[in-house]
Amino acid sequence: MSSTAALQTSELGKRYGSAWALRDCTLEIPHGRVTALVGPNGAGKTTLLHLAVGLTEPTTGSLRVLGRSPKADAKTLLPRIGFVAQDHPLYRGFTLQELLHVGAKLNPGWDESIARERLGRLGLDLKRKAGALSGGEQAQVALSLALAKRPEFLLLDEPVASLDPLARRDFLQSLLEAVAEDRITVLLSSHILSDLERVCDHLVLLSRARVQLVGEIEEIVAAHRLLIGPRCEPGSLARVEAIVQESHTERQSTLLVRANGHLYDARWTVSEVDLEEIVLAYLAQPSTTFHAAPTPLEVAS
Amino acid sequence: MIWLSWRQQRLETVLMGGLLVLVAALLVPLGLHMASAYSGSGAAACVSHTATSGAGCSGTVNDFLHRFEHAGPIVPWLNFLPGLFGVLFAAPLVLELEHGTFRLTWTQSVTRRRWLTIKLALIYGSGLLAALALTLLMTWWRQPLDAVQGRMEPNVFDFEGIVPYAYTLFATSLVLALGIFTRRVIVSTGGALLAYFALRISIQTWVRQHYLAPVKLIWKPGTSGPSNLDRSWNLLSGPSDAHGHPLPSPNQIVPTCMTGPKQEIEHCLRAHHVFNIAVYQPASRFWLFQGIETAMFAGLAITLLLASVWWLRHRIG
Repeated sequence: MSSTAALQTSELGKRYGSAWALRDCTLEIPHGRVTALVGPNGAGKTTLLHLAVGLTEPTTGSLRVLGRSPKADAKTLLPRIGFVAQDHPLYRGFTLQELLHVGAKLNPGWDESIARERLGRLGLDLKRKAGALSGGEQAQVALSLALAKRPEFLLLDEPVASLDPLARRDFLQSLLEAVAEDRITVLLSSHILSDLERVCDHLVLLSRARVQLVGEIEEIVAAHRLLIGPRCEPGSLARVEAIVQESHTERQSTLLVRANGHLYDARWTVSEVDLEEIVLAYLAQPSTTFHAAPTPLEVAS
Repeated sequence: MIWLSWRQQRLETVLMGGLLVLVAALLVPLGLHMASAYSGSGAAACVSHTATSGAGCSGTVNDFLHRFEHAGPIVPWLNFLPGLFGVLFAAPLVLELEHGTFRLTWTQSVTRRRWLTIKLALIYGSGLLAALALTLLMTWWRQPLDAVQGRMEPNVFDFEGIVPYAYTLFATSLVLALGIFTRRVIVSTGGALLAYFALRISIQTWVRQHYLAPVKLIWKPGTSGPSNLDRSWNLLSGPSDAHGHPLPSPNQIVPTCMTGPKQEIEHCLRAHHVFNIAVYQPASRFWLFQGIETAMFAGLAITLLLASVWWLRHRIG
C-alpha cells in the first residue's frame, strides 16, 4: 500500500508559534490520481503542500513524498515534483523567454517543447514580460513551467483562487489534459469545492488544522445518505455508522448519515447526497471525521 | 542558477556601474589636474624633502592645499556609496521574498543550500568589487593630498585601506537580515541605510579616536613640536598650561604679548607659562586602526549573515 502512495503522512503536525497550522495529519494520496485538497481558509492546506514540497519542515510526525523525505532527499526528489505556489509567483521583470531559460538552467529533466507548445497554444508571445500578463495567463505560465519539469507528482496551491470563472474553467481543463497523457499524480487545493469536484477523483478535507474526510469521491458519496422521516430520537438506526448532521422540526427529522450498507427502513425517505452537501455537513461538525476505505489506518496490508 | 542570480541583479549592476562612472567622471579630471599642480608647483618636491626645505616650502604646500580645498565638500557624500553597494545588491534577494518567487525557485531542481550559496557569493562578490573600484579611485585621486595631509582624518580614513570592504559587507548583511526578517524591500533597504549611517557616524565621531589612547604632547612656544602633526588625525591643538589643560586664545589671556616679532611673542608666552598642546592619532597607526575598524564591521556583518541564514532556513517556507 505505502509503496504506491504519492504522499504519505503520519501524525504530521506543523506549529507556527503557539498555533497549529496542521495537526495529527495521517493520510495517503494514491498514485496516478487527481486529488482535491479542500478546506476553508486557514485550514492548513498550504501548510500541507509546503511540507510536501520541502518548503517547510514538520514540527511533529513524518511524511514521504514518492517514497522519499522532502528535506533529506531534496536533491533527488525536487526534479520529480512540480509545484505551483499560491498566487502563481513569477519573476515579474522577466520575459517568458527568460523564464523558460531559468527552467532549463535549473532542471535536469526540463522539456522546453512542453512549455513552448502550451504557451503557443495560449497565444502568449515569449517576448512579453510576466508582470504584464493577466492573472489567468500568469497561472497558465506557472503551470507550463511546472509541467516542463516533467514531474511525476504535481502539486498546486489554490491555482484558480484569483481567476475569473472562465479562466478557472480553462485552467482546470488544460491541467486535466496535460496530466491525463502522462498519468501525472496531482494534488490541488481550493477553498471552493465546486472548482475541483469535476476534475478530481480523490478528496482530502481539512478543517481547523485537522483531516476530516479522506477517500475516493465515489466511495464518499456512496457511503452517505440523506434520511427524511417522522421526528424521532436517532441513535437506534440499523446500519447507520454515524450521523454526520441532524436537524429536527416538530414533526420531521432530517439526517445526513454515513451508512454501513444498504438502508431499508419504511419510516425513512432515503436519498443520495452530492459531495458538496457532504463536505458542508462535515465542516459544520468539526469533531466528525471519516477515512473512506481503503485507508492506511483500517486496511491490513 | 548563476544565470538567474545575475539576471535578477542586472538592473542593480547597471545602476552601480553608472554611479561609479559618474564618480570617476568627477574625480579623474580633478585628480589629473591636482597631480600636475602638485609636481608643477614644487609642493611634491617639498613634501618628499628633495628640495631644500625653507620658508618657501610651507608656503608652496599651503598654496597647493588651498587650491584644492573646494574638492573637500563633495567627499563626505561619497560615504553613501559603500552602504549603497550593499543595499543595491542585496535588494533582489529581499524582493524574491516579498514577491514570493522564492517558492518558485526553491521548488525547481536546485537545493536551497546551493541556491543560497550562489546567491550570497554573487551578492557579496558584486558589492566587494564595487568597493574595490571606489577604493582604488579614491586612493589614486587623493595621492598628493595623502602625501601632505596623511590619511588618518575622517572622510579619508573611510575611503582607503581595507575598511570600505568591511562597510560594504556590513551594509549588505544589514539589508539581508532586515529583509529576511520583514520580507519588505522598502523597510529593509531604508532601515539598513539609516542604521548603517547611524553606526558609521557614531563610530567616526565618538569611538574611533579611542581605539588606542591618543598621543599627547606639550611643548614650549618656540621649541620644536611634534614633527608629523600634518599627517596625523589632530584631536586637539592649541595653547595650554604646563599640565596640558587647554587655555583660551593668547589674545585673551596675555594680550600684551601679542605684538612684535614672532620670537618676542614666543618669549613672552614662555614667560607667562603658556604652552602648546597637541593631542593626536599619528599616521603610523593607520593600519592598526584600519584593522580594528574592519574587524568590527566585518564581525557585525558575519553575525548578521549567520542570523539571516538561520532565519531563512528555519523560518521561511
